[in-house]
Amino acid sequence: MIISANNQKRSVPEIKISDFKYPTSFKETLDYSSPARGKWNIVQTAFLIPESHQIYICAQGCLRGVVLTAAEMNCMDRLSWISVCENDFFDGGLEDDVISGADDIISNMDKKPKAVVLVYSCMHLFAGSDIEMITDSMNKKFPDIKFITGYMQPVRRKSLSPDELMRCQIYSCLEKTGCDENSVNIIGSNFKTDDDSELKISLKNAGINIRDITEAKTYGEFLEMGNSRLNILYDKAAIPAAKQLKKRLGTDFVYIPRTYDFEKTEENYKLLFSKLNLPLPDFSEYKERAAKSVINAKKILGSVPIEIDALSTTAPVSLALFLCENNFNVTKIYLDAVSSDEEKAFDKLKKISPEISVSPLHDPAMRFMNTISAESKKNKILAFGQQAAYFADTGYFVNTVEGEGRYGFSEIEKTMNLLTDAFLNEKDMLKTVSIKGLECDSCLC
Amino acid sequence: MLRHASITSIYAADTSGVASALFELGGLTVIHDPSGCNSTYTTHDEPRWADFDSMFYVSGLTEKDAIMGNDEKVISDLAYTAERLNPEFIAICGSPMPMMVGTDFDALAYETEKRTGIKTFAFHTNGMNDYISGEEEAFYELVKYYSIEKHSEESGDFLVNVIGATPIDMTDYSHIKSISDFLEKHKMKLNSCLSMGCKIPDIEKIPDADANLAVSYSGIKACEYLNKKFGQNYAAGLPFGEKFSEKLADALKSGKNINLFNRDFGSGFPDIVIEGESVFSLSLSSALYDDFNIGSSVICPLKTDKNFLGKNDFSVSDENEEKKIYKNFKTAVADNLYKPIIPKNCRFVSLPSVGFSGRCFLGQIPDLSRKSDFQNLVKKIISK
Repeated sequence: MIISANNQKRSVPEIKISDFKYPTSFKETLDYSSPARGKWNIVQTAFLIPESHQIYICAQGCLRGVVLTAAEMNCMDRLSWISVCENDFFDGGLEDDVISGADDIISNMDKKPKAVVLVYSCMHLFAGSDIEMITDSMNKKFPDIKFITGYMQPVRRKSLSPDELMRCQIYSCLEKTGCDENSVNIIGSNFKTDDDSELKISLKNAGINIRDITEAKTYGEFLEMGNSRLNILYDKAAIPAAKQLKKRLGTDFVYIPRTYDFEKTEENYKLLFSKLNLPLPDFSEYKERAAKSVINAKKILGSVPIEIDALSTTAPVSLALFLCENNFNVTKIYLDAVSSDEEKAFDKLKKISPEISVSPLHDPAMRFMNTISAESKKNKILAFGQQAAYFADTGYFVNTVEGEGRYGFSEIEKTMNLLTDAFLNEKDMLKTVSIKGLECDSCLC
Repeated sequence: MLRHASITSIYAADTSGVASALFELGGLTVIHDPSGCNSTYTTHDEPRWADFDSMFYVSGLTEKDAIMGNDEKVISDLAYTAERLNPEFIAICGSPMPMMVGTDFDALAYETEKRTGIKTFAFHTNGMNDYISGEEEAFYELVKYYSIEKHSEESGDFLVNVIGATPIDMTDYSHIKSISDFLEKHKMKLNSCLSMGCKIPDIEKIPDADANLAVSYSGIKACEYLNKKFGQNYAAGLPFGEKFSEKLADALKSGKNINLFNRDFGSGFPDIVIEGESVFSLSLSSALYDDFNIGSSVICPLKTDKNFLGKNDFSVSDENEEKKIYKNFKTAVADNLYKPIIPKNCRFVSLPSVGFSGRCFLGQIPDLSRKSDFQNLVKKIISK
């Protein structure tokens, strides 16, 4: 039972999709953060580098979040911190403290890491800290360790987000030492791409070796990614990383965005296989399985209202459109703005399902969405994603973020199975969604 | 000044202290910050977040607004949100970026109050100090503004306000219930608890009480203010163990401000060390001595009054200092996230707190005001 801080009746922002103007109809104002915590943060992303250690250099308030992320993951032995205090701005000690602090931390380690990510805050950006000098000093002190510069600078809200920047920086230690024509990388996803996806199976059948940071067991294995001939990415947040790798190492990339549209999936594969100069494989078996799963799911789900949130998948509008085109009852989408990748899908969805309502994720009044849902709940609601589950106050939900490692036709099949399973099996919603970083280890489980 | 740690955690920051102190009061609390303070506070420092629809947000400060000094953005966002959500008050506090660009929080609050007609508090946090600093300022400002005058005639009961309570130290409401039980046992009655189980009217009736109990260091500044304004005496401490609880009750009834933390354990150096918030750790140390004649040192890594600490106690700010101190003891009583720096020949007794380990060990935090939990901890401390 949620307790109200005062007894005002409140309403939450909600707009019919037919009235929603691309890219957003919501005002940017104070920022609310729901208790759903499955989306990864930069600490979890940087932990993907095998045999690495992270050192955060920030104010106490900023450190608290990253340190406890590591603590909950049982990874305190892989993260250290240096606190920035007011004095550091007056006594000129900002850079010196990083050097002496990191030196002390690394020198006292029983086993030295292969790489150390030094993560700087907004304050270093504004103070104009000489990060290059710090890195040079650290390289001289510890020549066997690769120092990677990371940024936790959320103040750069209008340029690259900390998430996009970290996805860039984790690959910044890759070097080209040769060219492995039979290898490609999948980059930019926090999750390992499913082994049973046709993306991986078809590449492997064509004799292509796939490298991915999420699968690298050692730092050396991770570094082999530098020699691959092509970077494949399906998450938009990885585009800056792909561009950087192209500029720095000359490695070409192909962006095949996640979609739930059969034709677009086929187009993605055409693009990928033409980049590789390989014939397009026959995906009809996967298509048939996906189509069959839609029919089976429809039989079970019937007209249950479905709510989708923008953090559940990197293509929430495409998912909503696919479900509507297949006569599922999508009633609500939670998003702050429509991604440029999804503009066409959004226009189409507006036309075929104008009654769908849209609510933001971060508007201050969303604080009351869960309470309002709990009080007005009459029928079963099926949610796709943690945020939607929390806002709709439903235990019938697919516990997923960023689409995890699903891709292609097999993703459609899996999504149908996940929706069916969620519809049939209720979860302890709050307990499930409050765990940080879906699929990460957690001391709370 | 270098302050760093290779493997241990860090305490909740001043911003979380303010937010936690104001959480239940029906106000609109905003940290002027780009993003990070939001999920950090609501995930790790606020166990009530999912159960209580308190209005806590960040301003979403951008690089451009910080550089150009666009304070109008945050003022208009506060006014827009206040108009929609109708809060009891507005509170705006600072984080590192506004500190760097020299944001004038008093001016922000003045402008916001003028525009909305809603009382607006400015809190001078910067995310670089511990939660005690933030709570301290919040409790002090709250009593200064809301605790104006006595309302009721003498009730015949001896009324006590508990000041300085948030889940960062007190974990949950059962701890407040235990303190209330302690007061009842000693023929006193809880008047208001600032601020768990508290609304604005509860702060308004604070002057009706006879004495104040500071349950963390953050409550002391407000207690001193109330002492000057209404003549209410105060004592700092938590009712741990039998004898120390008796002393605490007597101090509350004495009409005087008494420092109960006797740090003189004779000439020997103690074998036991307790690390944590000062009022909590000193209460535990005092209770161990009063009930069992066991001396112990205290390590305080948070803001405190150094006069509370004795010659064998320590005020620290860095992990290396803590490592050196622990080498001198046979038993360490501390949060689980200190365990990696406890030497092998020093026995570790777990005593987690939200302030240090967040929700990692939430289910394992004892309520030492309860006899059974206190005795269980003592058994662990004295067992060989």
